[in-house]
Amino acid sequence: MGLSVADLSVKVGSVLLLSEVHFSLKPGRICVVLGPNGAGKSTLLKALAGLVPVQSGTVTLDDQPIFAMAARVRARRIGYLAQSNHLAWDVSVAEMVQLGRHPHQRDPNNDHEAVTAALAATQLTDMADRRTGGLSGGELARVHLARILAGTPDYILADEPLASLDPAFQIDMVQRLRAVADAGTGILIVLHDVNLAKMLADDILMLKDGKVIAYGPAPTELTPENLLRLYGVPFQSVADGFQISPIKSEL
Amino acid sequence: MTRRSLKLSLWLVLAIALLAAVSLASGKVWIGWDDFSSRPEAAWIIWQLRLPRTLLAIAIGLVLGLAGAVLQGFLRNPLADPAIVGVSSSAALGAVGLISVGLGQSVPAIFAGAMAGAGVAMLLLALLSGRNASPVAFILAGMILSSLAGSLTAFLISIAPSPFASSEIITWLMGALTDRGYAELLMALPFMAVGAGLLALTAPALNALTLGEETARTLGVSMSRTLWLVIGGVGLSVGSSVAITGVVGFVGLIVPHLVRPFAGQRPSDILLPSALGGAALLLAADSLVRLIPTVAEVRLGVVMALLGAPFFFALLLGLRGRLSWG
Repeated sequence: MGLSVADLSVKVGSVLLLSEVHFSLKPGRICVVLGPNGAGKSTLLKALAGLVPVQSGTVTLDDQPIFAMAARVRARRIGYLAQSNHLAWDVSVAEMVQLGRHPHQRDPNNDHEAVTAALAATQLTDMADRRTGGLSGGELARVHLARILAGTPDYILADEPLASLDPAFQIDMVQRLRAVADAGTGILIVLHDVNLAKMLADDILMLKDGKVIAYGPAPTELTPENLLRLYGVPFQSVADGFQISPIKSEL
Repeated sequence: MTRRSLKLSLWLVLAIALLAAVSLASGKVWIGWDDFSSRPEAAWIIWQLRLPRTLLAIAIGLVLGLAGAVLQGFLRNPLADPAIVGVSSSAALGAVGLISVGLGQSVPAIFAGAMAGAGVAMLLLALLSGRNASPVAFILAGMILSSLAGSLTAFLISIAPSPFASSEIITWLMGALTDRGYAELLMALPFMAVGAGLLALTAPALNALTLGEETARTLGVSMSRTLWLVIGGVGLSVGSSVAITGVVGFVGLIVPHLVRPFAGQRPSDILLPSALGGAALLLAADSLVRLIPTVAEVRLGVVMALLGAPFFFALLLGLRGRLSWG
């Protein structure tokens, strides 16, 4: 069961962006991907979403190899939340959430039901007719989440969905993502904030220079030692999280 | 399709019916209902000369409006228009090539030449942009094609054997529905129908592309299938319309913008209204060229450009506020 990644390597030109990445994502769990800029986090998500070609390795979804699946079939099982949220047209909230149904064979009854449920789950029902052009960044992030939920995927790949949100909306999204995971969806999410990572993560995947340098349950892997190895700056454990210590590292 | 998009479409059908009546009545002589019902020669003019022209205006307006709406959705760019992908200018080059060798009076020859030009354009577009199926490659390929076809057309005009031949070419290029009949209509209709059908199939992918190319692909949209549909659809429908009228620009650019305030911005919601709006606009413009009291009929392409250029300008001014250009 789950999304299993084994020996995944991605090469663009002569540059090796990911090298023998190995991990698995179980239903109902949140795996946070941490790593410095350029570590290959986005590349990993894009490779799993079928956006960049893979050099070698296998990825299976409940024991089926995903690179052999039709794009539409895979899209029904894996939702992808991209880094940038730019919309070409000023569509309504409901129309945008409806796009999440694209991978499914058109089925008016189910479509309507799934969209209504996704809007309700994200408290967007009252905003369904609003134009997306007038929404704040935080509201738009919620609409994107609703769009993913409308597709009823088993797994969600999210590339820094909290990066441009204010702290209140960050906490709001953290709670929503937790609720989605508790309902049985596996979530692979890239974060930059180690405190948000601590709040959200069941598992931690640390990537540096395209390689996994730590992978496992958050309580054992999210440690100041690993963070030092990852970012090259010392972290201190404080009451409920971490703080970058002001002393420069030797590394 | 939403209710307001459907409602707008119904209004546009009504507008087309009214404008078609005006189009049938207007010409060198104005033929009202009394003339039509009482004088057989007036009825003959309507049935044999004006009805095919009116039907052609409707068909060509439909495909130009639809192609514009599809291209704007596919390229996620409100400034896209069938002319920028190079199909119109390549089809025009094909026709001009045959006019310059003296076949300008043969309708089937011009039609075949233009369709051959459109066909070559489709092939080149597919070759230049097909491999990674990216809209950016597509638009660049289109720009290369249209400037190449444009310069070759200019070359053919410059080497034309006689001033008469070059004036024939230039007149044809300006675009018109003058003296077009049932033969042209029957030749173009199958291509237009197939092309419009291909374009209509892109609707769900265009909606998904609202989220950007990358996210659309993660929703299972095949960019290459969409690209093939766009190239085939625009090539056949716009190519055959150019084959009949010469180049009539701006319809595909203007109409989707006129439609959006009423039908919403979702790409699939503006396809039908844009097609109908294109037909209404072309009917109106083609009636106008016949009603303006000039010695020779003003060319349809000229009228469309005169209407279109100021609109384009206003559009740019309006967009400047929304995009961060300055």
